[in-house]
Amino acid sequence: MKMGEVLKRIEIPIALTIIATLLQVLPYYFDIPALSSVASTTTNAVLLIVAYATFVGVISILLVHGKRVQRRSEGWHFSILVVVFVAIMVLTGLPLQEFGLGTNNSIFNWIFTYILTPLGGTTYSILAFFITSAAVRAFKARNIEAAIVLVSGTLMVMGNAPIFTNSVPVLADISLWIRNIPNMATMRGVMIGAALGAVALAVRTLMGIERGYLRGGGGDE
Amino acid sequence: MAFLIQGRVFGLVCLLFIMAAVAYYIKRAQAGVVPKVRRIPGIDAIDESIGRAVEMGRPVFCSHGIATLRDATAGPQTIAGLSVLNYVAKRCVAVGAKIVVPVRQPEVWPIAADIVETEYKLAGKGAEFDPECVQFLSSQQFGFSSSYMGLMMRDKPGANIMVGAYWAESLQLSETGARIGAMQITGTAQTSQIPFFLVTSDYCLIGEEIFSAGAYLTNDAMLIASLAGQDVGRIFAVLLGLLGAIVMTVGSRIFLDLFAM
Amino acid sequence: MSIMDKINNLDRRIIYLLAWIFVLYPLIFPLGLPIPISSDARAWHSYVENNIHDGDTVIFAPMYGTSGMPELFPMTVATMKHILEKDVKFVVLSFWTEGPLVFNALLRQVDPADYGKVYGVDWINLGYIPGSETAMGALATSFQNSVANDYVERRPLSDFPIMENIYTATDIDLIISFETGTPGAPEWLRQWNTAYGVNIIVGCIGVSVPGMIPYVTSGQISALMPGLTVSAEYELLLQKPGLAVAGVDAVSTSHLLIVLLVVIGNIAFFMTKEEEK
Repeated sequence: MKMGEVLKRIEIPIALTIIATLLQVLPYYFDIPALSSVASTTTNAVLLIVAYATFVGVISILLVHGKRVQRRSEGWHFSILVVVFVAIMVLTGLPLQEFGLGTNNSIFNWIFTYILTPLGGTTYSILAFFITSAAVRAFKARNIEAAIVLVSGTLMVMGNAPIFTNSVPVLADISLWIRNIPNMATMRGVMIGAALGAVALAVRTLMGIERGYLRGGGGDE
Repeated sequence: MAFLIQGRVFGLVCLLFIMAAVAYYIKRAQAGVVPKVRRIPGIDAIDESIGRAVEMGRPVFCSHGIATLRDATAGPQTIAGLSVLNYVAKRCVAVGAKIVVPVRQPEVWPIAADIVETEYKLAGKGAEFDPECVQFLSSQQFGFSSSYMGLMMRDKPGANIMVGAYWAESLQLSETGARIGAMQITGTAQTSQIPFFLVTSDYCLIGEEIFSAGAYLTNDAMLIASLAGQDVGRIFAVLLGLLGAIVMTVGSRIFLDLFAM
Repeated sequence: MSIMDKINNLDRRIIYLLAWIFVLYPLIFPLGLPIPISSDARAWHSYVENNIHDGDTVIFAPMYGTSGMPELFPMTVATMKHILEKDVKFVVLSFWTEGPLVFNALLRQVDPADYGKVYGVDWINLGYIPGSETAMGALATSFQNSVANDYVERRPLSDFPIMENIYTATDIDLIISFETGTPGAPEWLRQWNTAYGVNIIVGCIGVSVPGMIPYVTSGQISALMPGLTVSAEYELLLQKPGLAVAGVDAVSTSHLLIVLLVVIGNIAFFMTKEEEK
């Protein structure tokens, strides 16, 4: 069997996954210095791999938008902007303080303060509009369950706004009760369920039977 | 046992218990006794949504969340999302639908691209694979979100499948999908985002249902059996909770001492 | 189509326009609505006032980026002003890439030097620490192994007097974390609170509050600052009204709009059902 074919075998990533999982799980429960040392080295290696993966993203963006500019595809003017800003931020943000570059660079900071920050805040703020329209659509008493959602949701909204709680102080107490009792119980249940699901997924991964994230679902090519 | 770390022994016992339950049900499955899984409408609707997109001549968007694979709570959700992507890619290739996979994390991008490309190759359509269909948009949360919204507004997908870990952008994405008339199947275990998905999408997988998606879609006996092991763990957690509440009410510290073991 | 039908099928764009008006108006023309003080604000104020003692060492962690600034920056600034009035040492760090940039923005509003705090002696900025929860766990076991240099002067930690007594999580008395997502409170709880017993107080956005409550009621999170409204109340308790007080009128009017639309929408819904019958 050629080396290329050997490396393509699905058993290799499965084995690597199992080893990596054990290296993280075992040191959490067992105090074995040698194992902790290997786990720590592995973790550092993973962080390095992830750091290098950042370049993959930048390269992907440059390839996609570069091709759009080359082909004059629809919206290619915006692709020029993307490429230009990627280049500026990458270059000015390089950790070379001796050349005046890095996160204290004036151009980097200007773009961060006057372009990125307002854009990020604005995009996040779109949620206000979406929440309003979603609430208007969702808070309709079509049935008993929807009516419960309507009443509790409306009380929570009112309990969080000074315009209501100042006039009707009991609204704050009611919304606090909804938050601290039924909501807390539900959240606990969902969180525990999700955690158990994650544990089961991890156990399946550890046993090598969860292969959905592998190429072809873990099947042979 | 001096090398066991104090305060974590009970956690280890619980983990071993769940692993034993999973192993037990897998063994039974191998002997032909496969547990029945209740229907999860959201997962059943994936084929319907892909078919709808093909009829409309529109692409299928499939996103696996915005988390990395390394987060303790969000990483498993990304793996679940990639399992769903695997199935969706397979179905899209089979029916000739165009698939678009928006990606936020650079480290996940090669995995997602590999999954989609492999499905094309397995179907003998390797030449039809377009690398640009798996697009890295931005590692900034709202850069990703605004890019994804823009993609949806321009390409108008017939189906938008979002299973994985999402945060504040969840409502933005699903509301945009609702606006353009896409059939939406969503799922996340992020408790703060479940309400938003429930309100804006056609089908929503809640919490641990997303971790079952891989098993459900492949119909693999061993994976389905592992779900039964997961349920044993859930029953154990409920019993612990009930007993703990009773024991603490009567003033005993036995459970606290057990957890600190 | 009757009026009720039109209301029932109200165009989203009209809702967006109304939301825009209801939010923008009080920002331009402040209404000065009274702000009652809630138990959450009192609890946070009381904790910072009474449970942070002179000589304590605190981690101050802005764990959010630019998108979270509108809601979290006011509480971050207010809390920083509060702890600067105390004789505590604080270590600024973040596991979010934009955390140091958020702190730089804070420094433009609040200068520790104005409170007599000397960099390197009373406080230090370790900047962004990559690695998410793994890095949090590593930091808990050793600051010096996790962070080579400080963020401001790029010098080894051993050069700074404040770090002479800070080596592991056991040397920290409190974590103050402001966050919008992951990594955040659950990660702090797993790596620092459960493992080392370090107390933590958390300021978060409104959407995250339901998920934080189980930790608050169990006592794992000692105090919670849930969103902009409570930030405004906290500023009033400190008698230092700031960004939060300036923005809370918009919170009130936007919530009023939601309630009005929901009520009108339900009236239209039931009347349309009646007509169909």
